[in-house]
Amino acid sequence: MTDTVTTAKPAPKPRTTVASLATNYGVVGFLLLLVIIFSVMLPGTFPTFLNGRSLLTDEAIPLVLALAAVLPLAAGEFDLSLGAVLGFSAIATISLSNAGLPTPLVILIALAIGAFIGAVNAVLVVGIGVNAFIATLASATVLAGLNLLVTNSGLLVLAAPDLAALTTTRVGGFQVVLAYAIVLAVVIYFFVEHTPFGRYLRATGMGRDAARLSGVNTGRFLSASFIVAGVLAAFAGVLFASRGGTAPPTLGPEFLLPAYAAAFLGATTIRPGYFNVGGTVIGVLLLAVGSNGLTLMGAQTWVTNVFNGVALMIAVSASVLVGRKRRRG
Amino acid sequence: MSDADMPAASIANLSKTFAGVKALDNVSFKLSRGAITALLGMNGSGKSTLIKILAGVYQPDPGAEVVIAGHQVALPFSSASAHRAGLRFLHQDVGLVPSLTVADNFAFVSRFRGHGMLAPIDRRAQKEHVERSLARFNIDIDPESLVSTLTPTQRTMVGVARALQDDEGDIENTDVEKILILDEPTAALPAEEVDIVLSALEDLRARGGTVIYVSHRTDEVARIADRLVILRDGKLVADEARGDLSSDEIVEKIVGRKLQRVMSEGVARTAGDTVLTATGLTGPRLRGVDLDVAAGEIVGIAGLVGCGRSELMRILGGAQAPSGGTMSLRGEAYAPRNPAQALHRGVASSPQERRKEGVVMQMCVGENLTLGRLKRLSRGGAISRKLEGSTVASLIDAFAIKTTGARQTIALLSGGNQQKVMLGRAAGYDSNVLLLDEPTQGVDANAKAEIAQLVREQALRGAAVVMASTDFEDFVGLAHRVVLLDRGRIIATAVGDEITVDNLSLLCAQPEIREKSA
Repeated sequence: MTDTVTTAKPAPKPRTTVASLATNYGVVGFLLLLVIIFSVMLPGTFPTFLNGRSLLTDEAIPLVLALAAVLPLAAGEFDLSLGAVLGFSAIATISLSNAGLPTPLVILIALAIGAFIGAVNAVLVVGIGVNAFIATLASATVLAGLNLLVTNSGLLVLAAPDLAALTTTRVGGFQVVLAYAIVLAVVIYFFVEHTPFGRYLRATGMGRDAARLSGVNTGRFLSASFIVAGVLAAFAGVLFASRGGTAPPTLGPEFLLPAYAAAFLGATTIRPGYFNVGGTVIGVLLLAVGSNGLTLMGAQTWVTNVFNGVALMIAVSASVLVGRKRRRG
Repeated sequence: MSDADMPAASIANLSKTFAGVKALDNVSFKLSRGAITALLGMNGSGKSTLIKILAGVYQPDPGAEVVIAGHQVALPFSSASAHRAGLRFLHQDVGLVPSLTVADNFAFVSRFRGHGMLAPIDRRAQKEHVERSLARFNIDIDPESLVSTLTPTQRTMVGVARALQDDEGDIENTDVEKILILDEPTAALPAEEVDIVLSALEDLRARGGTVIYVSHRTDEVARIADRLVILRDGKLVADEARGDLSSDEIVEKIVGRKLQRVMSEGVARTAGDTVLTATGLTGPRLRGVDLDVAAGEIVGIAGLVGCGRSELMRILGGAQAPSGGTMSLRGEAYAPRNPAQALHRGVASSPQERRKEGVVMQMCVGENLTLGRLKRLSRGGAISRKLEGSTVASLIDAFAIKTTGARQTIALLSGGNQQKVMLGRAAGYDSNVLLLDEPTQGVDANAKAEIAQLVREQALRGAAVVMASTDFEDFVGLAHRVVLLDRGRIIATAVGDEITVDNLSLLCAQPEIREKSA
């Protein structure tokens, strides 16, 4: 049956309407609008090469964490431990490096820690059947406690210059950390959109029973998403330790919410209706541009927080509405 | 008319039309107080429609009149007005919350609450009330035990007690004033425990209770019914005292023609090597099922809700582990731990619940057609767009799926076309064994015929097909052999020309014939 060559009519192109453009590219349009508004209002500070460069470079690590969040989300589960994994990994990186371990080994150990935490989450969620929200909240809490233990509740400062060079080396004027984030985004985009892994991950998130019964090993894909997310979050921690050179004992949780905000914003654009890499990149940029512009205008910190919160509210509402529209047609 | 002579309920001119088709055609009958009235009929006879009208789920066509205890019930009928009129229902699934205790399952009513939303529940009064309600039906269960720990029979009994719990301060009259309507209460219960439920209903009648007992089992009806109301094709065909009809006559009225005792076992089997064999399968519902399917053969699994049909299909397809028994595939041991392993061995399933288990609603037609099959459509780790595109296009073509294209969201397809996508996914990759659970559920007649033809083609190709359905019509002219599952056991087999709706209905309704043929 499969070897008979098709005679089916070519599929008609989906109609492009103003409405479909608005739902698909609304967030992109909003991002452009923000850029224009800030450029007009702050002609001397916002639309400059220096500001653009620092904005993009600063968002490299949040982007890696947002990419980590996309994988379990695509499979239909939350991983709330990702911020804590970033923190623990950064603290472990600085501790191990200061203890004299060679940099490649330090990075390897940090990534292994991330994989291990992801595996623990996978055992709890997939193996035992604990609600992912609670299971990953528990592992986040454990890690927060370990952070206090490892740092002895004090600030860690990185000593090794070669580890710092990992991110701060400049290539064409940009810190190389940005290249890592871009490469990772491309690689994850490829996996999510072009491999059976990505397709099955999405099927697991959108219809777990149907996916399982049609022969998809949903447990395996869900587990893999937790483990890969753990590794990515740990990598973000390594980058943070390298770039910042310090790690406070409470590092981590503050990265979690922006990552989710970006992922949810991303689910409303480019490929609306599900968590996708392109949209997540746009989401990270939107939040960054918003807070950057507001800061440059002299807004206090609370304004930035309110902006982020409201953006997330609107994005999540929009993604629900878009999803409903897709289901109903 | 004295109070005692007044019927508990009288139903007049009840009709229900669905899209121009009369599901219920001018049905009138009376219910005697203190009696058990059996409501009988085949699938599609209108008995479910009748019950749903009484429960307030459907509105009858204009002109209907329902009088309960001398009071005309105002139309439109709602579930609240049915309750007020004294109708109490026990539906097939009983409707208890498994994670709550028996006592808490009684307490959905607000009577044990203090005043105000947040006032505490009066636990002691509730417990006493529940104990009293259970005792009335001789149910020996601690009210504090979880419903999930009860056997199916115990759950049914708790459901009966809950349906007939007394109203406040009116303990004596509850049994007499209410009308209990049970829909196939014993369908999913082990045969040896059916007696518990029937005895409880007989006790209830002795206390003056009025019961409508919906069933297809002539043996149970023969035992407990005082009166028989039989529906066929939406029309009332009998409303008579139980003693006036013999067992044969009852079945004749249900089926609509004279019965022939033609059932036999093990006649002509189609040629072909046995592919899938199951021996002594047991599970929560299955009580020892042997089955074998040959290449090119279509075997039907018939049976009503609760017979274990879906469980058997899930076990064969690796979606559920059997608690006992063995399976083999082409002579080799076959014990899949999940559907992925079954698929790997060439056993593909099309599950029962289309919307939940069958298709991923938010994905497109193409993605649904290749779900679980992407490995063979990938090159170097990435999905080959070309390979996937051509496979999807040929499947859409071969399985006559009406869609605007592979990229269309599957939610926008009709039920029949979604079903064809499921069939295409299961059958389109040269699987040896196809397990189709209710492949024509909720699809129109035209799609039914198309699906039947597609299944036939698969068998001609050499696939061993197992197809389960509650609609006997599906097997006629398609299945080579139909096994009838009842309460987790195979009770009869029909082969070749014996596979007609009437014969399968007879087998279902009348245990005497089964025994003669077995």
